[in-house]
Amino acid sequence: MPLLLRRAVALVVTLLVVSFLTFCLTSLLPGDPAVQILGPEAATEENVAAVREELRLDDPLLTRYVHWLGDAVTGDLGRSYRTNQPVGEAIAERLPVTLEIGLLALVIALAVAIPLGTLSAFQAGGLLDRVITSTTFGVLAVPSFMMAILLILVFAETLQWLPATGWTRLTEDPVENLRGALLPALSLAMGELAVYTRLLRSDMITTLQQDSITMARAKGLPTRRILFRHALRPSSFSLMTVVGVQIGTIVGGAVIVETLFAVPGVGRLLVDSISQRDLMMVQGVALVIAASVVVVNFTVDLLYSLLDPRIRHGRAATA
Amino acid sequence: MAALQPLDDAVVADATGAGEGAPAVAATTAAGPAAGARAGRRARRRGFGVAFWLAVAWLVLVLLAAVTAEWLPLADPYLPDVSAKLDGPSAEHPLGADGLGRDQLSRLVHGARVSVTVSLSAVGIGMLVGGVLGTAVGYLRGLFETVVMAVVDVMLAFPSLVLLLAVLAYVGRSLTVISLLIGVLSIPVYTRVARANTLAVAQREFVLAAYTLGATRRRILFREIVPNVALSVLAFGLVAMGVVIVLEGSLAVLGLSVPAPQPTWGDMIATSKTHLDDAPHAALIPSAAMFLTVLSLNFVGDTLRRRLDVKDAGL
Amino acid sequence: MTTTEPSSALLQVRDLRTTFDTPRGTVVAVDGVSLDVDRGETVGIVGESGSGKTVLSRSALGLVTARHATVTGSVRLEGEELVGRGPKEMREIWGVRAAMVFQDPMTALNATMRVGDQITESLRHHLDMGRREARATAVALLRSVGIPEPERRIRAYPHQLSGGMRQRVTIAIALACGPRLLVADEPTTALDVTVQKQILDLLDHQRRERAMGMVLITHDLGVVAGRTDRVAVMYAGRIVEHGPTRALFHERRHHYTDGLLRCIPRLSNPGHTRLQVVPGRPPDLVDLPPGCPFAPRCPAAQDRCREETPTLTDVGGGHQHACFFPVGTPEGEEALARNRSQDGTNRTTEVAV
Repeated sequence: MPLLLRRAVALVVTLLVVSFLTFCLTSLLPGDPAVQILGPEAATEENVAAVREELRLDDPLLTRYVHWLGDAVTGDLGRSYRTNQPVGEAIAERLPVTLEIGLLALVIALAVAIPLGTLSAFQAGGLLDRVITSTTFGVLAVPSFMMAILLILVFAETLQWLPATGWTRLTEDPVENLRGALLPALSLAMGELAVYTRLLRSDMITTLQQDSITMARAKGLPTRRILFRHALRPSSFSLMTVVGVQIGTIVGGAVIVETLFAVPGVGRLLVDSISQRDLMMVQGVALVIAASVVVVNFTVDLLYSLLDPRIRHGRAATA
Repeated sequence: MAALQPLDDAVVADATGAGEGAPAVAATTAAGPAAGARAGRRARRRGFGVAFWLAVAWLVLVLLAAVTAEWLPLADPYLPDVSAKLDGPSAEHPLGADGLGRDQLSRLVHGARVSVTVSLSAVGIGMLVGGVLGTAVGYLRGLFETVVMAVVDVMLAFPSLVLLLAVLAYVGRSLTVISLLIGVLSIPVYTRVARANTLAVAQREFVLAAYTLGATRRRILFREIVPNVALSVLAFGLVAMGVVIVLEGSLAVLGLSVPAPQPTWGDMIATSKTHLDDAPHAALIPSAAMFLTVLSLNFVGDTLRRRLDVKDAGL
Repeated sequence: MTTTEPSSALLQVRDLRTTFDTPRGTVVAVDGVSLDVDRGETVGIVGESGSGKTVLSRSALGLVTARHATVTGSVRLEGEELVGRGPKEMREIWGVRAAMVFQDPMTALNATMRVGDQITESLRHHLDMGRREARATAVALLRSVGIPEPERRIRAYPHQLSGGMRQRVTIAIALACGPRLLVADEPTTALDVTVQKQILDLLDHQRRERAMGMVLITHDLGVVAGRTDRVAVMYAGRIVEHGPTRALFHERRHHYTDGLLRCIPRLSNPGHTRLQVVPGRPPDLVDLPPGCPFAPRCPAAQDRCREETPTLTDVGGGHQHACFFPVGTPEGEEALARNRSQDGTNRTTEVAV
């Protein structure tokens, strides 16, 4: 399949460019990493020179990039300038937290958006549809940090159902863990579900006007089956595109929410590393975030073919 | 990139809009070309509706507040009034006071200045550079297009928030830097939108008609394509302004917006988060201001975009 | 042949009227149509696109659900009234007692579902068949509509089949639950000329074998000629001529039918004979002016035609027409002659082949 090959080449090229940009970004920023590693007291000229030598900071940029990339490919992203913890290890510790929140948000958003968008399209023009359409339009204007504050106000401060901050490990106490993950996930999910609902609605309206739906009705099938078995799949291409993009941004997408809820995820790690000028850590986290976007988008492209048999079979027939 | 989500949404909406152009037109003609054209004309004559003008009015109000903040008879936005700390609305402080006892109304009005400056300049940069680039690329096609779009794709794959945070943390975070940076980071998106619209417009009947009438390329570009694409990019830009305002708020939450004590809406929301238990109004009032502004921008932009859509143009 | 005893008809349509509220006004798509279909009988409905034949068939089966559509009148299937039934009650009719074959099988079939699943879902839903039984039945159905290797095709997606095969699949779907009425809406229009005849033969064969009543909708009188017992010609949402197929072809009375018949090229014509088309376009169905809707295009139109609306009148043998100056009658010839002498120019546009 030459198309697959071309995509794979594009994937590798994009990854190279993105990693190079990440590397440049942190390398070109002002401040001497050696000084930061040593701290202001120990940063004598001699010590600094030694550290720079050890980290090969005096090599040309391209040489350093090749070294860094070579190590990164084998999973070695270097060590934190601050804690000396391996960057890969630090990220691996935080990643499950971010993924949990991101995936929980995605599941909530889809679980609400699919029935809501379908119902809205089925009743297009009716009262319910107008309520759903205008509510989701309003939600689109509520950024995640504002949603977080509203949710804290309602569920943590007023109702006191859920904790406003804090994180319990899944292995420690699964219920507490879920309680802690719920508000951050909801803050992310609200915006997503508004987008998904509107997208699904507009595509579903188009689908419901097609002959195949009239035919399904003429077969005497129940409405539920027509909507969810016949209409949903052909209506979900735009939705899947956006969900794909969304999955790609999960790793780097919760920076603000993680900060607001004091959740120890990848986004928090990035923000903390930036404020502590831990360049090695920033580089590593940025690379992981960027790579996850690129790799997920690539995967989603491939998964498309599963959704539409016409693409799977090379678009043989006239559409 | 939670903060950039609406932007992505708008891009998808635009891209699908451009892609759907052809089949939608076919559907209109199937239903009767005369009917389609007449319905389109009727829609245009129908006007914009009350909600649209309310949204415009709010946006004008915010703009006026930003421009005239200094001359308005307001309390000093920097002056702490310890006795009024976290007070609700009163005669002295119509919208209450924040955690340091500063007047909320005054900070809100002065904060509008940051939102307006950042959104106008960032969107201006993105729209101008990206718009020109996208139109050129979509019109000239060829190798130039391939190269530019490859660069755009890579830039879009790169997490812009990471870049934004890193640069702001190290270079410093003045209003100018923030505006410039967001502007530059948004260029790829505008390039995409402008290109998609150029491609769509270039295939429309009036452009083809101009060709057959022997119009020069330059004339077609400036008389037919640029005005049409500019309107679409502008409609997109309005929605993007909302995204930029949200982005400022997100930066404030991370402590990376314009340094204190300058009032910004984002900062007002972020700092009053700690007082949610005893003074929720301190967070809710600036939130409402930001919500209304973003909602209005979305609404106006969306209305214009739908009005300009090839689908509804009665083609 | 037409039955006079209403209760014995399989499908009995009386004064069916379908309107759509649009921003431009009310579109009267079907305007007071009455029609009977007997068991084992094929009735053709002929008209240009936009004449309301598709809306008629969909209204008759309760498949018009557009928010702004109104259907009034009476449709009785085996004596049971269908108009006014909710979708829930209609689901006991759809697929089981009345089924439909659509114009374009590519758009009518669900592109994202395997052919087999699209057949078995009705079987399982309506006849409560198990997975295995439904599958066996689907294979048998596919075989009966002439699809080779049905065991293999059952796993195919619609786009993997040829146009003719796809239409065979939609016919198999329609036949799955043994309907008594089959409505075929332009079943061959989207197909290659070479497969059109095969599909029509298949429909005919199935109708005879299953003793179904069939409604065959087409814009092509050639399709209707040898395969229908009766034909109804529609124009602007009304039936303008209706009768046994032979009578309608040989003693056509309405000038629209006459125009349509002249559109069919004949091999017996000498070379370079000009092919006639019916001049003009079908009228806008919003705010239809009074009088015969065909008058603006009619070669024999008189002042009376523009003022009064002709109603269907019986001329014997079940042959009805709605024309004041029918073809082949002295009045008709006179009207034609008067028009010809009046404007001198030929009112019929002719196109060279």
